[in-house]
Amino acid sequence: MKVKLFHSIVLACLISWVGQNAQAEPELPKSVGESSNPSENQDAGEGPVYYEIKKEGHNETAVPEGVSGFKKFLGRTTVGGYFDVEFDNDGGVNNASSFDAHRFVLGVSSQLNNWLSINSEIELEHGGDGTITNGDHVALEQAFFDATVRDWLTFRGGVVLIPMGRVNILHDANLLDFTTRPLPDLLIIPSTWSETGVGVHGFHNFANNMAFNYELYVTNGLASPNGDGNVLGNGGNRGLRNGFRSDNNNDKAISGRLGFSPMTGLELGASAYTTDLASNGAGDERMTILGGDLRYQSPSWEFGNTIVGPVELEGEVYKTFVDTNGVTGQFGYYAQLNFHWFPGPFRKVIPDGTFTNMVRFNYVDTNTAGASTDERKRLEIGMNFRPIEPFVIKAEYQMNFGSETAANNNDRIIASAAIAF
Amino acid sequence: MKKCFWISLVCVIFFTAQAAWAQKIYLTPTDALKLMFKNSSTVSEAKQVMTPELRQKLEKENRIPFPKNTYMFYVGKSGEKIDGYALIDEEIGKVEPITFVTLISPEGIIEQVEIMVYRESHGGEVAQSRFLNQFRGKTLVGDLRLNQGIRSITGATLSAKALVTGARRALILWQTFYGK
Repeated sequence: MKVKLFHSIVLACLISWVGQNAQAEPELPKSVGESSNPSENQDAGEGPVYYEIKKEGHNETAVPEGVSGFKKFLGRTTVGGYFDVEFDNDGGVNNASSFDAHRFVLGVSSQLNNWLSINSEIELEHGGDGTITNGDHVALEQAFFDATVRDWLTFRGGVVLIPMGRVNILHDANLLDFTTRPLPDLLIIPSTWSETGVGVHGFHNFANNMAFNYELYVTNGLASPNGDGNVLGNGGNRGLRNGFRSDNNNDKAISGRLGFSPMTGLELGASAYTTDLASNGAGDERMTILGGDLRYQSPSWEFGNTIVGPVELEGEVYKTFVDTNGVTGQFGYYAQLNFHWFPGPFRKVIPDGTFTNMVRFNYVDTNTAGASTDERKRLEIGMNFRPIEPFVIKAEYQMNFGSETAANNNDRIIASAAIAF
Repeated sequence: MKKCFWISLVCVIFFTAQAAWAQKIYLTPTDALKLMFKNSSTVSEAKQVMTPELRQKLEKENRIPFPKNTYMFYVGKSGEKIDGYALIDEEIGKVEPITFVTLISPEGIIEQVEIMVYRESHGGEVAQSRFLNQFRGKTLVGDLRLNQGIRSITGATLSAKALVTGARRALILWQTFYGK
């Protein structure tokens, strides 16, 4: 087995090497406007008048002629992703203090031409050995094609992220300031939440600096694990995520988000999702989630060499309407304030560094008709440091309260490091 | 057997993708210059040489890189009157270079910035006019800084930062070679 594996890797590397070197074609220069002839670099001053730039040796095409189809395919493909490792200590109430290789996400993208692209993310969570329901898994997080007709009309199909709020879409660990996601985005919006389906999205910028964007999808939908439409009480909706293979009924889910930005730095969003949780033959157990989100980012200021700001205010609110055994609704929201800054003396050593101080309040009630055990409140304070934008080191203290379930009220100290590549 | 296949596939993609360009072309050089100088009667090249001494001086003063040996300015004219200066340049976003053009007026003010080729898989929102319009009217002495005069875009911070750096470099080069 090991010998086979070794041979496979050697063969793959060989194919890759041949793919890159078999053709003597010059690669598309990523540097336009610089002479490739060193002797020409000695001549300064104004040159001939012309409009035909191509004659002067600039490439007008994306891929040089003569490159094989196989290499063109590979050449259009990029690989990236992100990884985060976390430390969690809740005093030993729920778990021992522990390091956790929480997420390793590998993304493969390809721009086939100017209007067609594919994008995918494969996630290994907690090392990736198990199933999606117990947390340890290897799974597609998203995999879709985009076919763009106009800026305001792009067709998308595949495994798509459900456009409820901002966190489910912009969920990369290196983009988030706190290690943990907001409570409503764990218990009401089961992020990372993706489903199989098709839809459209787009944007439009108005001349007066206003803009709007939208996403609208038809997907398989959430499904009750028991087929009877029950949601999961104080466990929230995480267990309702269906696989990507098939729907549990003939009733498709519809989801959408409309974002509106009246000025640069401010965006307001409204989102909605509706589906039938029950399997075919078990009646109609409709769940509808309505959401609103806001994000404001101030400018930053420079005092001496110290950067103060930007200050960011963000929040989301969700209301669920559902009528199943024992659960009639859910409600949750969070509000978060981020303050970015970096002192002048530090900038001399780390020119692109940023410190961020954060505070966030979360409230979730996963059964508004039920007992208060379904309520949870969380206040978080934290700080992170980004020496460069793709790498962040985070530390936070979590105060949990408001629940009659003692384990939910335990405070936690959490630290993590996340990097995008 | 299945495992071998998947590992092989990942290896092929990984090793070949290092030299990849998943690019979206918005403007060819010809189209970019036609857009920048739509009212000019002629456009001519003006190659400016970056000597090691000049590079060292500019990098020390401005703390941004000047990696090329020459910078090609394109000068648009109507008769004898100079309409503006365009510089086609690149700056790394996350891992791939973004090719863009900056149009500078004879007074040293940015008139327009346009993306020509975008190669990253994420962050393409910087090509939207709403983001690029923020560069109009910026000068070297103003607030041409990310999150000051130019608001960033969530999820596209690195690309936004790259364009701010690139636009600053264009202004510094213009100031060096054409400023008074």
